[in-house]
Amino acid sequence: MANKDQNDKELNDYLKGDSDLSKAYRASNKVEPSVHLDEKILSAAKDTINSDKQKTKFHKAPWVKPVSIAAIVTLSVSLVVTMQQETGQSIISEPEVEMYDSAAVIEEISLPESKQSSDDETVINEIELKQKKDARVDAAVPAALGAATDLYRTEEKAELERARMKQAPAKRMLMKEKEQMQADALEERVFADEVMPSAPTGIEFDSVMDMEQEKQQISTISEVLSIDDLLKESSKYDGEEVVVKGVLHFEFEGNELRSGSYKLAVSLAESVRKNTEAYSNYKNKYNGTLVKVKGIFNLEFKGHRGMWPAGITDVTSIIPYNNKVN
Amino acid sequence: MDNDVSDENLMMSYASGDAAAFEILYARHKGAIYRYMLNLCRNEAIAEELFQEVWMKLINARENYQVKAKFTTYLYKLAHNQYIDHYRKQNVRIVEDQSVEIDDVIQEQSSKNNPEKQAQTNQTINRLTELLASLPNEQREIFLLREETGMSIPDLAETLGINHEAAKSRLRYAISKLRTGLNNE
Repeated sequence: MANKDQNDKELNDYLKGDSDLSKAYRASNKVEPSVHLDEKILSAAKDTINSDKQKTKFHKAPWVKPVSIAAIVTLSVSLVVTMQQETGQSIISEPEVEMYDSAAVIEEISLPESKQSSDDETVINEIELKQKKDARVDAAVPAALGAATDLYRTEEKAELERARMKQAPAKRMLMKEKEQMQADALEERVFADEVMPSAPTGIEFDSVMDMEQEKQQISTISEVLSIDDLLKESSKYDGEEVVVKGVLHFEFEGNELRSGSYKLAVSLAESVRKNTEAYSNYKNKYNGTLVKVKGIFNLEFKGHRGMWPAGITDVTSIIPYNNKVN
Repeated sequence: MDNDVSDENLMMSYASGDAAAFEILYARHKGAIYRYMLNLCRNEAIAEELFQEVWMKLINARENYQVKAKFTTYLYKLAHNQYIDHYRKQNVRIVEDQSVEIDDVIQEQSSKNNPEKQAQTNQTINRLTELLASLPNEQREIFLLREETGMSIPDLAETLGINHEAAKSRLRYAISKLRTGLNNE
């Protein structure tokens, strides 16, 4: 109890605000964020406001409303006209066929009726006959409609086939382009193998790649450099394959490797950027974590708007940084 | 405008398109938020990252900002949540691997800012840094919040999402341990 009272007194003294502890803390903690960080945040704040203003300007412009309405009306009208033009023939032909067939059936049915009326039959017979006729009409009309629908569907199929025939060349062109892109990618890889025979081409961002395999391959490259080391001797490492440690960030403006106030732009290898699944896996797995990155150090690569002093391009491997591994 | 306008009004001005208001707001709180993050994470790179994310969240929240509480409480709630999210996502070992970095940062910057005082304060810096590091996360965080913002117990409780008694108890333990540690130096 006495101990609690003592603690409460200590707390109350501390809360008055000028305790020795507070003085010691203030004396020992005067760190501030870096100038670079200040600039980055303030510029983001300004950019956001500017973009808000542009949006507002656009929405408040006097011409926006009438132009929007005019655009909607024009689009709607042209859509309706186009639809009518495309479907017009089929719509007209369908009822024609139906009317023709139905009429033929009804005429056929009505022939015995006229003969029988001339034979002066009784009212009962007439009613019976009418009932029979109704039954036949009921059966015949759906059959006639069925025939008309079949005819309509046949025409529709033919139309579809004609459209497909028209699209076929475009499809073939797309296929050709795809094949060409695959051939180009293969050619690039062969070229890379020839130019950089020392580069272990087996290291790629492959979702099936084993972590141990990555570690082994990355350890074949001599040392893990800090960004600071790289930038200090930038001309020595320019164009060289390096392994660098830092916190990796996948950002909208570009990927970045950071360590303290030092930073590098990061460009992943072509094979990863094209493989959206692998890219997404790496992004989810490593964003914001301390990693080792292997790629080519490039003084010319300064990222989006030249925001970085240099960069790592053709990044072929990323593994979590762990002191124990090294 | 600097000293007269409240944080809440500055934030409202920023939300309505005044970028200069944000600059004042940022200048007022950047040091405290940064030190709070740095002392919590004990890793400069991660602290910078979280610091940046807190401000980006504030920028993105400008349109929905309403004065329901003190701005400081709002801002540090963002910071606290950012730290908790990071703590949950990250492997704690990575943070511990880099634990020596913070001492270097503090000493390096102290020597830059106050070279003449460095010799006198070095010992206290080291001891207090060690003691802070040895505190449980919850106690360290409430002590840092109190030191950096001067918040009252109810505000500390609201920011951290705990009750009044828990806040009081955490702070009491923290200062008791730190005082004992410094006195035994």
